[in-house]
Amino acid sequence: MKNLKLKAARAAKDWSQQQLADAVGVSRQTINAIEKGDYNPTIKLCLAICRALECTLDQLFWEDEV
Amino acid sequence: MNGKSLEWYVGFAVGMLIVIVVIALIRGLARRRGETPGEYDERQQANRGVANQRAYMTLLVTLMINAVVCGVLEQQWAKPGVDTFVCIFISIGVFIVNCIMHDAYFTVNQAPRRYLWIIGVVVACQIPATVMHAVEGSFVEDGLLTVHILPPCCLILFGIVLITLLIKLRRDKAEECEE
Repeated sequence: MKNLKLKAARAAKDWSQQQLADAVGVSRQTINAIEKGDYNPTIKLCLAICRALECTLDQLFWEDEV
Repeated sequence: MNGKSLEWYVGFAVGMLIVIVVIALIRGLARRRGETPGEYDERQQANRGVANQRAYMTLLVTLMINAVVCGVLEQQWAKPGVDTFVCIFISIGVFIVNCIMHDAYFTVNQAPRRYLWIIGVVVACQIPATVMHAVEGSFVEDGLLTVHILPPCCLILFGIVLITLLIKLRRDKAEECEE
């Protein structure tokens, strides 16, 4: 499932995938894979992304019940 | 000297020396620019693990097929050692192609584009040896592939790596444009 919340939070900061990747120390492709839902990051990486985007885990990674 | 000429050993030593010098030069250049090789991120590490598994299985399967062909069917197709090298080349190819296609061959800080020319040089270096042995007709001796088949094997391996890297870079560029 695509992580549109992450994409929106990144766009809100006007950051490219590369900028976010540099901020958290991963490759651009890893950020792309998370946004596309192709990769489930560890809690460590989730926290690093949240800190970089100044968001909470819930805001970026909690899936709302359908 | 175990059936090999002095030139063979000198060639081997010079080849190894060139590899060491080229690696030292690249590392020195990167250090001067303040670049560190960096590490693989968690997704890359996972993908490298999968690539390792696939390469290992490929090596096992190719060695088993070779053992059946040579041992059970008694159909020798290469001189001793050469068959093993061919199996190793195939498994290395599987590992590198898998890693490149899943963004796990280069670390986070390494720019794949910069390594294109290095791979290109490796491919180019194999061409003279391949042509020379082809002209000499020394690939096959008594119906068996000789050690001279290794330069074309290397040429094919790095040729595949080069093409894979070019395809991947093109895909990445398209992906970045979509972003």
